[in-house]
Amino acid sequence: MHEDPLTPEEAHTAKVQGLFLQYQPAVRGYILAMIPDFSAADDVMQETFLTVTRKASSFEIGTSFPAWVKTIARFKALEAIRARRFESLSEEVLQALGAEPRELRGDADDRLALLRGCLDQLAPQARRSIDYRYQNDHLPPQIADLMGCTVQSVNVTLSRARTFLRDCVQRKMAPTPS
Amino acid sequence: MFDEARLERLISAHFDRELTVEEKCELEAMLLSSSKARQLFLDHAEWHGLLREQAMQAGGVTLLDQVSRAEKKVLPFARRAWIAAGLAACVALGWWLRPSDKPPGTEGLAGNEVMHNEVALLDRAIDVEWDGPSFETGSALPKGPIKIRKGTLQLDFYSGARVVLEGPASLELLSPDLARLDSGKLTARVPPPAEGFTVMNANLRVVDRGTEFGMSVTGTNDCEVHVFKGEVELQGDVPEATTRELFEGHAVSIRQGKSEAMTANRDSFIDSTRLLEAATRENDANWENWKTASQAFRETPGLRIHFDFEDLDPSAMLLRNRAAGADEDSNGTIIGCEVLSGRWDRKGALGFAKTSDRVRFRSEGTAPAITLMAWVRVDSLPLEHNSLLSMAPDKVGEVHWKLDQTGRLLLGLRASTEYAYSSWERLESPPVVGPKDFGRWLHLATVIDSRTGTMSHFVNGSLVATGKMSRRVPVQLGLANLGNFDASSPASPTNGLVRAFNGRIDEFALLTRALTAEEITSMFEKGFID
Repeated sequence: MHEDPLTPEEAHTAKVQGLFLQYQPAVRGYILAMIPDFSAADDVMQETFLTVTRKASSFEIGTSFPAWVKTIARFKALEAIRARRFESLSEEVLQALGAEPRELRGDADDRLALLRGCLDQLAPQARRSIDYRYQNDHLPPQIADLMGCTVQSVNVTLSRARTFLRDCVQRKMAPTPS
Repeated sequence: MFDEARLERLISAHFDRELTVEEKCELEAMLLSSSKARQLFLDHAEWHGLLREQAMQAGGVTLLDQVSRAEKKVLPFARRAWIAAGLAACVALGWWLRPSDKPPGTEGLAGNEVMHNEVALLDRAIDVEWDGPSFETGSALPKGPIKIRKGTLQLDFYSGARVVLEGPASLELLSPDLARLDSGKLTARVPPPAEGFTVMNANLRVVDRGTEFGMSVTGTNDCEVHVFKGEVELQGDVPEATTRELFEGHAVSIRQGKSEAMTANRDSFIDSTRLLEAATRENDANWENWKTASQAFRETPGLRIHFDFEDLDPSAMLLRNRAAGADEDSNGTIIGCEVLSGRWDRKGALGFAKTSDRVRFRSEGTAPAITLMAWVRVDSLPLEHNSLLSMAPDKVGEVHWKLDQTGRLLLGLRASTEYAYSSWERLESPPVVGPKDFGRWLHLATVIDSRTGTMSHFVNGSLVATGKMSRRVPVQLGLANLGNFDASSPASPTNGLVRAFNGRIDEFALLTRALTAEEITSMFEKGFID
């Protein structure tokens, strides 16, 4: 660890990276919309972060960070899709999705904290399915094997669990004392 | 227009990578034709991203992680090195690039599954020295061995059989009606519903057909069975001449494959009266020790409120504040609540059950730091928020201290006046109270220190969570409720919400200084139950 004070450029870069972290879950969602494969999306996340770091100086604090990072993430995702022929939606559809007026959300920390509480309220089966899907990166057929049930029932479990989690977080976001 | 349910299914299939070629065309057509469909898609993407992000931050949770992590592809070295170089200046910020090789935790193991393994309850432990894993009184015992070097245990099997085990002993719990005594002495009292309760040793099965027997094992080939009441049946490798049925007042000793009939001898086993006396003596001694420590605690610097719940008189509705120099105005008012026993038989406690039950008290001023401590027995967590303490000045600095439905200890400190989620500084612990802890006494402590900008939770003297305050708000004291919550302002969105606590409290303290971790550990140890 060196303890030299940061130069103004370094400080600016660190600030931009801080903003990236704040928007990271939203950026991840945005990339996953285009590339549903988790590990391919992870690669694009990394490239996006590196580009954000490299181009930090071109970002002006005070202008819209979500709009700026969205452009970079979109460009990186399209680049990956073209180069590596990922399974994805057609470019026409991706374009339409990209043109949709929608800001990336920056309140991820709050929502992640609430999400953790909500996950604990899931029934054991549902919780396991969600863990298999998002933590172990298993797809429904693998989950069905691991849980000894049909793919159909895994799909139902996952989709009910997602709905529950979304409702739960939204309910908790309601403005009540602590 | 489109079929929304169908669209939802297709979107889920897209994110789970299950779309067939036809379905993909169908989804694309829907997305191209409607902005509402695209919004729905992006909404799903956002939650999908959030779930993935949460999972990555949580790290490994399931046991299968070890397998799947090993299979997970790693970045090629050259690329990793390049990334490392690019990020040399921002290691702390680039934490998300960290390869996901954290050791898998065990928090995801559902409590329910573990509970299937439990066969008995540890009812008493007197003067016990454990050999291997130890258990607390009141805890559920899983299948497996119990070893003690000395002392006496009373185990209540889920079948209804009560076993008193005298150390040194080694007993393996096999099921609610089966145990194996490898060495030591036990007495089993088996009421009719538990008939058939069986204790084995290496060669023999002793099946209860009556009500009470004793068994002593000193080696693989050395065993005695005494019948005090009713009848037992001996099965397995019993020497030929031995009667298989043994009746009240009779005993048998089997040594080196030879059996000998004897008269049952109650005195060679501990009896329940003596056990009870010993337990009462220990109980009273612990209570006396606590009383001494508790009286000394009254002089602790910074102590604002100390309720010890002793000499309770519910007709007076008064809970005396024992803090040194406390005036009459700081006494608590008991509303509802039942007077019950606390950590020890003769210790007082208040039971909180009805939604109205609470203790109200008032403390004035502001404090840059406070410590909250309580000995509580949680009986259940039926509500989303189960309030331990809530202050209701409706001002910046008010404190809410509670357990949520999943057993996390939560703290909320109001940092601004609006009724909004973001108005609160929060600290939540991992789940610390599970169904297995219901009915057991726990020491909970929380420290808010706005000078250092930290908040911490402690359970049974150990730090379980700590966090930074982004707004260093001093605590605003005022009207407070113990074991309940009321929204002081009719404008509050929680007005009318029920957040009552269900359980008992037998000691509570509020200090206007931040206790150190060592002090909290010491408080816990002085009031420890066993």
